[in-house]
Amino acid sequence: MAKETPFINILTYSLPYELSNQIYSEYQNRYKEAKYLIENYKTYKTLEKNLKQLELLLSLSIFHRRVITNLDGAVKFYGTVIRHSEADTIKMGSYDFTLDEKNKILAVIINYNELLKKFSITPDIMEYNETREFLKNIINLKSYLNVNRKGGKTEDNFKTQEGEDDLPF
Amino acid sequence: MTSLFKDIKEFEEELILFSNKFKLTIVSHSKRISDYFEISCFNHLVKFYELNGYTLIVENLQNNQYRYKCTTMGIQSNFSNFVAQKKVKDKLEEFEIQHNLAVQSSHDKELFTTPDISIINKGTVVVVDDYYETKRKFSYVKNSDFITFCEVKNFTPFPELLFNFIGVVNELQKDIINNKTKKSQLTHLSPSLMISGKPNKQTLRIKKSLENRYRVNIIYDLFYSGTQTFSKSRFKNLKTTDEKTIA
Repeated sequence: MAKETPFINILTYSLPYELSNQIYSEYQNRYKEAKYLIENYKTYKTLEKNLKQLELLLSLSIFHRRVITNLDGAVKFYGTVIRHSEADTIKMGSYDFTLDEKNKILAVIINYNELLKKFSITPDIMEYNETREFLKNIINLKSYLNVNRKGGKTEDNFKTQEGEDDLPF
Repeated sequence: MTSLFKDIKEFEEELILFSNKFKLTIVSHSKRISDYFEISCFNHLVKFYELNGYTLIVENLQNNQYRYKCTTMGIQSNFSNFVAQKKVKDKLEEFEIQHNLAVQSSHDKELFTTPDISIINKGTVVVVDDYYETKRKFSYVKNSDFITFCEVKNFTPFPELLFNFIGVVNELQKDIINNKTKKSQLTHLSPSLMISGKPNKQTLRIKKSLENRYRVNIIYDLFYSGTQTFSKSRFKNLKTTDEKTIA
């Protein structure tokens, strides 16, 4: 059977080399670290059977940070310019960032946010500095979704767990 | 509610569908990601003035287009900029928020460098034709009309990048390095280095040390924290020119 294409390759396919290289390197480093943490520390053992989720969420979080937030920034600046002037286009060198282009990006952002919402992924899951913080975010999401499925309370259960003393990082 | 822990196949399929559906848009815009990052930072700064009670006006539209100056090349009058204005004790205070404008050194009138974003007094851009060997025009702002600046870097922070920024601060605002700055009447952001990437232990230590020594901001991780850093509740954490001297 043919080997499945890693999701990070699907996400970065056709992106400019420099950007895809940055995304790919960050993904490789963090995935390696995450796997080490899961295999060696009991705090993260619960994710042992969720490596596919880890792969998808990690890829998505790096893509979110390096691509989506910048596209969103361009849309916001377009809004600021339109709000304070009669301009309908932002010209950057020879490129015209028109209303049409802005709407194309906006469609990406809206669909992206809807996708996250459908799977109960809040943007704060993507907010992490260290890889272990990201793993904690996934564990919290998992426990939140489990509790929710069983009809338990939601918000109170969806918070970061503290008290982790056995980490080398 | 769909759970990605129960329906991982569905989640993966939807992600691939999303990726394929918008691939063309994402790929075509990803070539300008660095420009978009700089624009985002410029937008944060414009918002900073808006949240501080300034009225914003766009100046110098070119054929109804906002022309963003992405490089150091070109005459400033061919590009657009924002003006922030506020009435203070019956006097209208006005500043320009410019991108890629050359600024005169605070040490030597013949030297110039170009920060990514500059705040200057309104209507003070000077155009000369004796800067280059040829008659090519050169636009800049005199140091006396220059208020503050931001450098924007789409990188992961590293020590040399941070110390280079202090070099630029020294060239453009030597009083900050000498800790002789006076408290300004109006609120402007102190010279700031805006970096997209996340810091490590070493670069956090350098930020802490430099911010303790000089009235500057080193802002990390703007990919994630841009909106929060410049929100009304958080911007009080940033250093501004209306603070007293650090020393």
